[in-house]
Amino acid sequence: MDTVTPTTRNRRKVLAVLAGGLVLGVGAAITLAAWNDSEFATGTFTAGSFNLEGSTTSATAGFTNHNVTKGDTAAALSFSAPFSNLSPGDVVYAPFWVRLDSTTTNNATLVASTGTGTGTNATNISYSVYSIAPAATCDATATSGTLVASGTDLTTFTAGSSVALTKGATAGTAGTAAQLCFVATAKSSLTQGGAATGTWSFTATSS
Amino acid sequence: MRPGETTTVVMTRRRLRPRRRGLALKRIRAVLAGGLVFGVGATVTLASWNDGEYATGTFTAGRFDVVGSINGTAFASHATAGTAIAMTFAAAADAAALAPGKTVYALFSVKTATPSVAGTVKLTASTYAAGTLADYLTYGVKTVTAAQCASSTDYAAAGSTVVIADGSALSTSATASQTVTANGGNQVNYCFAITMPSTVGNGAQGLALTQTWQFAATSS
Repeated sequence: MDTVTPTTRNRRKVLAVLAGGLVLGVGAAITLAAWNDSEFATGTFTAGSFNLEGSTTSATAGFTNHNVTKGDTAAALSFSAPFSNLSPGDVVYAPFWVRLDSTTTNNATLVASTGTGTGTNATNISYSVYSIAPAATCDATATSGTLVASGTDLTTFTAGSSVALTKGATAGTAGTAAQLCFVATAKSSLTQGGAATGTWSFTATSS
Repeated sequence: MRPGETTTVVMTRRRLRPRRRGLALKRIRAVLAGGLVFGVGATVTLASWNDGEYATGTFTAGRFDVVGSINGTAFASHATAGTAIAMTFAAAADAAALAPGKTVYALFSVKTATPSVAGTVKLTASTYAAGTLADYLTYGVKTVTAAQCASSTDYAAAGSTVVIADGSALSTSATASQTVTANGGNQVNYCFAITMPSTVGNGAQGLALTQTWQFAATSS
Protein backbone atom coordinates (compact mmCIF):
# COMPACT_ATOMS: atom_id res chain seq x y z
CA MET A 1 0.00 0.00 0.00
CA ASP A 2 1.20 3.49 -0.95
CA THR A 3 1.34 5.98 1.76
CA VAL A 4 -0.78 8.77 0.34
CA THR A 5 -1.08 11.91 2.35
CA PRO A 6 -4.58 13.50 2.56
CA THR A 7 -3.30 16.53 0.63
CA THR A 8 -2.25 14.40 -2.33
CA ARG A 9 -5.55 12.55 -2.25
CA ASN A 10 -7.48 15.82 -2.43
CA ARG A 11 -5.36 17.04 -5.32
CA ARG A 12 -6.11 13.83 -7.20
CA LYS A 13 -9.83 14.28 -6.60
CA VAL A 14 -9.71 17.84 -7.93
CA LEU A 15 -7.81 16.72 -11.01
CA ALA A 16 -10.33 13.94 -11.60
CA VAL A 17 -13.23 16.37 -11.41
CA LEU A 18 -11.43 18.77 -13.75
CA ALA A 19 -10.80 15.99 -16.25
CA GLY A 20 -14.45 15.03 -16.10
CA GLY A 21 -15.46 18.62 -16.69
CA LEU A 22 -13.12 18.86 -19.65
CA VAL A 23 -14.74 15.85 -21.30
CA LEU A 24 -18.19 17.29 -20.62
CA GLY A 25 -17.14 20.61 -22.17
CA VAL A 26 -15.92 18.97 -25.36
CA GLY A 27 -19.21 17.11 -25.69
CA ALA A 28 -21.20 20.30 -25.27
CA ALA A 29 -19.13 22.13 -27.88
CA ILE A 30 -19.81 19.44 -30.47
CA THR A 31 -23.53 19.71 -29.91
CA LEU A 32 -23.50 23.46 -30.48
CA ALA A 33 -21.49 23.24 -33.69
CA ALA A 34 -24.43 22.25 -35.89
CA TRP A 35 -24.37 22.60 -39.64
CA ASN A 36 -25.90 25.64 -41.22
CA ASP A 37 -27.45 26.41 -44.57
CA SER A 38 -29.68 29.20 -45.73
CA GLU A 39 -32.24 30.07 -48.32
CA PHE A 40 -32.62 33.65 -49.54
CA ALA A 41 -35.68 35.13 -51.15
CA THR A 42 -36.48 38.67 -52.23
CA GLY A 43 -39.64 40.62 -52.78
CA THR A 44 -39.75 43.70 -54.96
CA PHE A 45 -42.42 46.29 -54.35
CA THR A 46 -43.20 49.55 -56.01
CA ALA A 47 -45.56 52.10 -54.61
CA GLY A 48 -48.09 53.45 -57.01
CA SER A 49 -48.58 57.07 -58.01
CA PHE A 50 -51.79 58.98 -57.79
CA ASN A 51 -52.85 62.36 -59.07
CA LEU A 52 -56.22 63.87 -59.85
CA GLU A 53 -56.45 66.70 -62.35
CA GLY A 54 -59.30 68.85 -63.57
CA SER A 55 -60.38 70.85 -66.58
CA THR A 56 -63.08 73.46 -67.06
CA THR A 57 -62.96 73.34 -70.82
CA SER A 58 -63.09 69.80 -72.17
CA ALA A 59 -63.13 66.08 -71.40
CA THR A 60 -59.79 65.67 -73.15
CA ALA A 61 -57.88 68.93 -72.80
CA GLY A 62 -57.07 71.73 -70.42
CA PHE A 63 -56.29 69.52 -67.44
CA THR A 64 -54.17 70.91 -64.62
CA ASN A 65 -53.89 70.46 -60.89
CA HIS A 66 -56.15 72.56 -58.70
CA ASN A 67 -55.18 71.20 -55.33
CA VAL A 68 -55.40 74.25 -53.10
CA THR A 69 -53.82 72.41 -50.18
CA LYS A 70 -50.70 71.93 -52.33
CA GLY A 71 -50.59 75.59 -53.32
CA ASP A 72 -52.52 75.28 -56.56
CA THR A 73 -55.32 77.64 -57.55
CA ALA A 74 -58.89 76.45 -57.63
CA ALA A 75 -60.37 76.10 -61.10
CA ALA A 76 -62.70 78.96 -62.03
CA LEU A 77 -65.85 77.41 -63.42
CA SER A 78 -67.36 78.88 -66.51
CA PHE A 79 -71.05 79.18 -65.77
CA SER A 80 -73.49 79.73 -68.52
CA ALA A 81 -75.21 83.05 -68.95
CA PRO A 82 -76.60 84.91 -67.17
CA PHE A 83 -74.25 83.96 -64.32
CA SER A 84 -73.07 87.56 -64.05
CA ASN A 85 -76.54 89.03 -64.22
CA LEU A 86 -78.74 86.69 -62.27
CA SER A 87 -82.30 87.31 -61.40
CA PRO A 88 -84.49 85.20 -59.12
CA GLY A 89 -85.34 81.85 -60.68
CA ASP A 90 -82.41 81.86 -63.09
CA VAL A 91 -80.50 78.61 -63.43
CA VAL A 92 -76.94 78.52 -64.68
CA TYR A 93 -74.72 75.54 -65.54
CA ALA A 94 -70.99 74.85 -65.49
CA PRO A 95 -69.08 71.71 -66.44
CA PHE A 96 -65.99 70.45 -64.67
CA TRP A 97 -64.07 67.43 -65.82
CA VAL A 98 -61.83 65.45 -63.52
CA ARG A 99 -59.60 62.51 -64.34
CA LEU A 100 -56.61 60.53 -63.02
CA ASP A 101 -53.44 61.75 -64.71
CA SER A 102 -51.09 59.67 -66.84
CA THR A 103 -48.78 58.75 -63.95
CA THR A 104 -51.58 57.31 -61.84
CA THR A 105 -51.32 53.61 -61.16
CA ASN A 106 -54.54 53.02 -59.28
CA ASN A 107 -58.21 53.49 -59.86
CA ALA A 108 -60.02 55.83 -57.57
CA THR A 109 -63.27 56.89 -56.06
CA LEU A 110 -64.20 60.54 -56.22
CA VAL A 111 -66.39 62.20 -53.62
CA ALA A 112 -67.43 65.77 -53.08
CA SER A 113 -65.75 66.86 -49.86
CA THR A 114 -66.68 70.41 -49.04
CA GLY A 115 -68.77 73.29 -50.29
CA THR A 116 -68.46 76.81 -48.98
CA GLY A 117 -69.83 80.15 -50.07
CA THR A 118 -68.92 83.77 -49.53
CA GLY A 119 -70.43 87.08 -50.60
CA THR A 120 -73.73 88.92 -50.27
CA ASN A 121 -75.77 86.37 -52.16
CA ALA A 122 -74.06 83.25 -50.81
CA THR A 123 -77.22 82.29 -48.98
CA ASN A 124 -79.45 83.19 -51.94
CA ILE A 125 -78.17 80.67 -54.48
CA SER A 126 -78.83 76.94 -54.23
CA TYR A 127 -76.82 74.37 -56.12
CA SER A 128 -76.60 70.78 -57.19
CA VAL A 129 -73.71 68.88 -58.73
CA TYR A 130 -74.44 65.94 -61.03
CA SER A 131 -72.16 63.37 -62.53
CA ILE A 132 -72.88 63.03 -66.25
CA ALA A 133 -71.27 61.40 -69.26
CA PRO A 134 -67.95 63.00 -70.28
CA ALA A 135 -69.26 64.12 -73.65
CA ALA A 136 -72.71 65.16 -72.47
CA THR A 137 -73.72 68.79 -72.39
CA CYS A 138 -74.00 70.35 -68.99
CA ASP A 139 -77.41 71.89 -69.14
CA ALA A 140 -80.97 71.32 -67.91
CA THR A 141 -80.69 67.65 -68.83
CA ALA A 142 -77.97 67.15 -66.24
CA THR A 143 -80.51 66.46 -63.53
CA SER A 144 -80.87 62.97 -64.95
CA GLY A 145 -77.31 62.29 -63.83
CA THR A 146 -76.10 61.09 -60.44
CA LEU A 147 -76.30 63.67 -57.70
CA VAL A 148 -72.82 64.15 -56.25
CA ALA A 149 -73.41 67.13 -54.01
CA SER A 150 -76.07 69.69 -53.22
CA GLY A 151 -76.85 72.61 -51.00
CA THR A 152 -79.83 74.75 -50.21
CA ASP A 153 -77.43 77.64 -50.55
CA LEU A 154 -73.74 78.09 -51.23
CA THR A 155 -72.84 77.90 -47.54
CA THR A 156 -74.36 74.48 -47.01
CA PHE A 157 -73.10 71.22 -48.30
CA THR A 158 -74.61 67.79 -48.55
CA ALA A 159 -72.53 65.03 -50.08
CA GLY A 160 -74.15 62.70 -52.57
CA SER A 161 -72.95 59.64 -54.42
CA SER A 162 -69.34 58.90 -55.25
CA VAL A 163 -67.96 58.68 -58.76
CA ALA A 164 -65.68 55.89 -59.92
CA LEU A 165 -62.55 57.01 -61.75
CA THR A 166 -60.47 54.61 -63.78
CA LYS A 167 -56.77 54.97 -64.48
CA GLY A 168 -55.46 55.00 -68.01
CA ALA A 169 -55.71 51.70 -69.84
CA THR A 170 -51.97 51.74 -70.49
CA ALA A 171 -49.11 53.30 -68.57
CA GLY A 172 -48.57 56.90 -69.53
CA THR A 173 -52.18 57.41 -70.48
CA ALA A 174 -54.57 59.49 -68.47
CA GLY A 175 -57.77 57.94 -67.25
CA THR A 176 -61.18 58.66 -68.67
CA ALA A 177 -62.58 61.95 -67.43
CA ALA A 178 -65.74 62.21 -65.42
CA GLN A 179 -67.89 65.27 -65.96
CA LEU A 180 -69.39 67.08 -63.03
CA CYS A 181 -72.17 69.45 -63.94
CA PHE A 182 -72.81 72.30 -61.53
CA VAL A 183 -76.32 73.63 -61.51
CA ALA A 184 -76.85 76.91 -59.62
CA THR A 185 -80.27 78.41 -59.06
CA ALA A 186 -80.95 81.98 -57.98
CA LYS A 187 -83.45 81.96 -55.17
CA SER A 188 -86.25 84.48 -54.80
CA SER A 189 -84.32 86.10 -51.98
CA LEU A 190 -81.51 87.11 -54.38
CA THR A 191 -80.10 90.50 -53.53
CA GLN A 192 -79.73 92.86 -56.44
CA GLY A 193 -76.15 93.65 -57.36
CA GLY A 194 -74.78 91.28 -54.75
CA ALA A 195 -72.01 88.85 -55.66
CA ALA A 196 -71.34 85.39 -54.30
CA THR A 197 -68.56 82.88 -54.68
CA GLY A 198 -68.96 79.21 -54.11
CA THR A 199 -65.96 76.91 -53.59
CA TRP A 200 -66.17 73.14 -53.74
CA SER A 201 -63.59 70.49 -53.22
CA PHE A 202 -63.55 66.96 -54.56
CA THR A 203 -61.33 64.24 -53.25
CA ALA A 204 -60.23 61.18 -55.15
CA THR A 205 -59.11 58.23 -53.06
CA SER A 206 -57.13 55.38 -54.55
CA SER A 207 -58.83 52.04 -54.52
CA MET B 1 30.51 -61.85 -29.42
CA ARG B 2 33.28 -60.97 -31.63
CA PRO B 3 36.11 -63.51 -32.12
CA GLY B 4 39.09 -62.84 -29.90
CA GLU B 5 37.22 -61.32 -27.06
CA THR B 6 36.99 -64.61 -25.14
CA THR B 7 40.76 -65.06 -24.87
CA THR B 8 41.29 -62.93 -21.85
CA VAL B 9 38.50 -63.07 -19.22
CA VAL B 10 40.23 -60.71 -16.84
CA MET B 11 40.61 -58.21 -19.53
CA THR B 12 36.98 -58.62 -20.24
CA ARG B 13 36.02 -57.80 -16.67
CA ARG B 14 38.34 -54.89 -16.60
CA ARG B 15 36.73 -53.64 -19.70
CA LEU B 16 33.20 -54.12 -18.28
CA ARG B 17 33.55 -51.25 -15.81
CA PRO B 18 34.14 -48.65 -18.38
CA ARG B 19 31.22 -50.09 -20.29
CA ARG B 20 28.91 -49.76 -17.31
CA ARG B 21 30.10 -46.21 -16.87
CA GLY B 22 29.22 -45.63 -20.48
CA LEU B 23 25.78 -47.06 -19.92
CA ALA B 24 25.16 -44.66 -17.07
CA LEU B 25 26.30 -41.82 -19.22
CA LYS B 26 23.98 -43.04 -21.94
CA ARG B 27 21.13 -43.16 -19.44
CA ILE B 28 21.88 -39.65 -18.24
CA ARG B 29 22.08 -38.54 -21.81
CA ALA B 30 18.80 -40.28 -22.54
CA VAL B 31 17.14 -38.61 -19.60
CA LEU B 32 18.61 -35.29 -20.60
CA ALA B 33 17.58 -35.93 -24.15
CA GLY B 34 14.11 -36.86 -22.90
CA GLY B 35 14.03 -33.68 -20.90
CA LEU B 36 15.10 -31.84 -23.95
CA VAL B 37 12.40 -33.52 -25.93
CA PHE B 38 9.94 -32.71 -23.20
CA GLY B 39 11.09 -29.10 -23.29
CA VAL B 40 10.70 -29.01 -27.00
CA GLY B 41 7.26 -30.54 -26.65
CA ALA B 42 6.32 -27.95 -24.08
CA THR B 43 7.48 -25.20 -26.34
CA VAL B 44 5.38 -26.54 -29.18
CA THR B 45 2.36 -26.76 -26.89
CA LEU B 46 2.74 -23.12 -25.93
CA ALA B 47 2.88 -21.99 -29.57
CA SER B 48 -0.82 -22.79 -30.08
CA TRP B 49 -2.73 -22.16 -33.28
CA ASN B 50 -4.02 -18.70 -33.91
CA ASP B 51 -6.91 -17.33 -35.87
CA GLY B 52 -8.52 -13.90 -35.98
CA GLU B 53 -11.79 -12.28 -36.78
CA TYR B 54 -11.79 -8.78 -38.25
CA ALA B 55 -14.73 -6.32 -38.44
CA THR B 56 -14.82 -2.88 -40.07
CA GLY B 57 -17.06 0.08 -39.51
CA THR B 58 -17.53 2.55 -42.36
CA PHE B 59 -18.51 6.07 -41.45
CA THR B 60 -19.64 8.86 -43.76
CA ALA B 61 -20.43 12.38 -42.65
CA GLY B 62 -23.97 13.42 -43.44
CA ARG B 63 -25.01 16.47 -45.41
CA PHE B 64 -27.23 19.36 -44.46
CA ASP B 65 -28.77 21.20 -47.35
CA VAL B 66 -32.00 23.15 -47.54
CA VAL B 67 -33.64 24.15 -50.78
CA GLY B 68 -36.38 26.64 -51.52
CA SER B 69 -39.12 27.18 -54.04
CA ILE B 70 -41.40 30.05 -54.99
CA ASN B 71 -44.05 27.79 -56.49
CA GLY B 72 -43.95 24.87 -54.07
CA THR B 73 -42.77 22.36 -56.65
CA ALA B 74 -39.47 23.40 -58.25
CA PHE B 75 -36.84 23.49 -55.53
CA ALA B 76 -33.30 24.82 -55.82
CA SER B 77 -30.60 26.21 -53.59
CA HIS B 78 -30.34 29.96 -53.08
CA ALA B 79 -27.69 29.96 -50.42
CA THR B 80 -26.53 33.58 -50.55
CA ALA B 81 -28.22 36.93 -50.69
CA GLY B 82 -26.68 37.35 -54.12
CA THR B 83 -28.41 34.26 -55.42
CA ALA B 84 -31.72 34.99 -53.76
CA ILE B 85 -34.78 34.08 -55.75
CA ALA B 86 -37.44 36.70 -56.36
CA MET B 87 -40.80 35.82 -54.94
CA THR B 88 -43.86 36.31 -57.10
CA PHE B 89 -46.39 38.51 -55.39
CA ALA B 90 -50.05 38.43 -56.21
CA ALA B 91 -51.87 40.36 -57.40
CA ALA B 92 -49.04 41.36 -59.74
CA ALA B 93 -50.67 44.67 -60.62
CA ASP B 94 -50.92 45.60 -56.97
CA ALA B 95 -47.30 44.60 -56.27
CA ALA B 96 -46.18 46.84 -59.11
CA ALA B 97 -48.27 49.74 -57.84
CA LEU B 98 -48.91 49.38 -54.15
CA ALA B 99 -51.50 51.75 -52.84
CA PRO B 100 -52.79 52.39 -49.33
CA GLY B 101 -54.92 49.52 -48.13
CA LYS B 102 -53.43 47.03 -50.57
CA THR B 103 -51.95 43.69 -49.52
CA VAL B 104 -49.97 41.40 -51.80
CA TYR B 105 -49.19 37.73 -51.16
CA ALA B 106 -46.35 35.39 -52.07
CA LEU B 107 -45.29 31.85 -51.32
CA PHE B 108 -41.86 30.56 -50.36
CA SER B 109 -41.43 26.87 -49.55
CA VAL B 110 -38.43 25.38 -47.79
CA LYS B 111 -37.41 21.75 -47.35
CA THR B 112 -34.24 19.72 -46.99
CA ALA B 113 -32.54 18.35 -50.06
CA THR B 114 -31.90 14.64 -50.69
CA PRO B 115 -29.69 13.63 -49.03
CA SER B 116 -29.77 15.87 -46.02
CA VAL B 117 -30.16 15.50 -42.32
CA ALA B 118 -33.06 17.15 -40.53
CA GLY B 119 -32.96 20.66 -39.12
CA THR B 120 -34.83 23.78 -38.22
CA VAL B 121 -35.50 26.90 -40.27
CA LYS B 122 -35.83 30.41 -38.94
CA LEU B 123 -37.08 33.36 -40.96
CA THR B 124 -34.85 36.42 -40.70
CA ALA B 125 -35.26 39.83 -42.27
CA SER B 126 -31.99 40.02 -44.14
CA THR B 127 -31.92 43.63 -45.23
CA TYR B 128 -33.80 46.69 -44.18
CA ALA B 129 -33.37 49.77 -46.29
CA ALA B 130 -34.47 52.66 -44.12
CA GLY B 131 -35.64 55.77 -45.91
CA THR B 132 -37.25 53.79 -48.71
CA LEU B 133 -40.63 52.24 -49.24
CA ALA B 134 -39.66 49.85 -46.45
CA ASP B 135 -40.63 52.53 -43.94
CA TYR B 136 -44.20 52.50 -45.17
CA LEU B 137 -44.86 48.78 -45.57
CA THR B 138 -45.75 46.19 -42.97
CA TYR B 139 -45.87 42.45 -43.29
CA GLY B 140 -46.99 39.22 -41.77
CA VAL B 141 -45.96 35.63 -42.43
CA LYS B 142 -47.80 32.40 -41.76
CA THR B 143 -46.99 28.81 -42.52
CA VAL B 144 -49.77 27.29 -44.58
CA THR B 145 -50.62 23.67 -45.23
CA ALA B 146 -51.05 23.91 -48.98
CA ALA B 147 -48.29 25.33 -51.15
CA GLN B 148 -50.53 28.17 -52.21
CA CYS B 149 -50.39 31.81 -51.20
CA ALA B 150 -51.99 34.22 -53.60
CA SER B 151 -54.85 35.77 -51.67
CA SER B 152 -56.16 36.63 -48.26
CA THR B 153 -58.08 33.36 -48.37
CA ASP B 154 -54.88 31.35 -48.80
CA TYR B 155 -53.22 33.39 -46.09
CA ALA B 156 -55.98 32.67 -43.61
CA ALA B 157 -56.55 29.07 -44.67
CA ALA B 158 -57.20 26.45 -42.02
CA GLY B 159 -54.01 25.13 -40.48
CA SER B 160 -52.06 28.34 -40.95
CA THR B 161 -49.73 29.28 -38.14
CA VAL B 162 -48.40 32.74 -37.45
CA VAL B 163 -44.64 33.13 -37.94
CA ILE B 164 -44.58 36.92 -38.00
CA ALA B 165 -47.58 38.83 -36.74
CA ASP B 166 -49.50 41.00 -39.18
CA GLY B 167 -48.54 44.64 -39.14
CA SER B 168 -44.89 44.01 -38.29
CA ALA B 169 -42.20 46.28 -39.70
CA LEU B 170 -40.15 44.80 -42.54
CA SER B 171 -37.16 44.64 -40.19
CA THR B 172 -38.92 42.07 -38.01
CA SER B 173 -37.47 38.55 -37.78
CA ALA B 174 -39.23 35.46 -36.54
CA THR B 175 -38.70 34.27 -32.99
CA ALA B 176 -39.78 30.67 -33.52
CA SER B 177 -38.33 28.24 -36.03
CA GLN B 178 -39.89 25.51 -38.14
CA THR B 179 -38.78 21.91 -38.43
CA VAL B 180 -37.67 20.33 -41.67
CA THR B 181 -37.22 16.57 -41.63
CA ALA B 182 -34.41 14.71 -43.38
CA ASN B 183 -34.26 14.08 -47.12
CA GLY B 184 -37.03 16.47 -48.03
CA GLY B 185 -39.50 14.64 -45.84
CA ASN B 186 -41.63 17.69 -45.24
CA GLN B 187 -42.07 21.08 -46.83
CA VAL B 188 -42.65 24.30 -44.92
CA ASN B 189 -44.81 26.71 -46.91
CA TYR B 190 -44.35 30.32 -45.86
CA CYS B 191 -47.13 32.64 -46.91
CA PHE B 192 -46.02 36.29 -47.04
CA ALA B 193 -48.50 39.14 -46.83
CA ILE B 194 -47.05 42.59 -47.55
CA THR B 195 -49.33 45.49 -46.76
CA MET B 196 -49.33 49.18 -47.44
CA PRO B 197 -51.49 50.39 -44.57
CA SER B 198 -54.44 52.59 -45.46
CA THR B 199 -52.92 55.33 -43.31
CA VAL B 200 -49.89 55.75 -45.57
CA GLY B 201 -49.73 59.27 -46.96
CA ASN B 202 -48.76 60.64 -50.34
CA GLY B 203 -45.07 60.57 -49.35
CA ALA B 204 -44.86 56.92 -50.29
CA GLN B 205 -45.91 57.51 -53.88
CA GLY B 206 -43.51 56.25 -56.51
CA LEU B 207 -41.05 54.68 -54.06
CA ALA B 208 -39.61 51.22 -54.69
CA LEU B 209 -38.01 48.53 -52.59
CA THR B 210 -36.41 45.13 -52.89
CA GLN B 211 -36.52 43.33 -49.59
CA THR B 212 -34.47 40.20 -48.86
CA TRP B 213 -35.43 37.53 -46.40
CA GLN B 214 -33.14 34.80 -45.11
CA PHE B 215 -34.34 31.38 -44.09
CA ALA B 216 -31.50 30.36 -41.77
CA ALA B 217 -31.43 26.60 -41.36
CA THR B 218 -29.56 24.68 -38.67
CA SER B 219 -29.05 20.94 -38.59
CA SER B 220 -30.34 19.03 -35.63
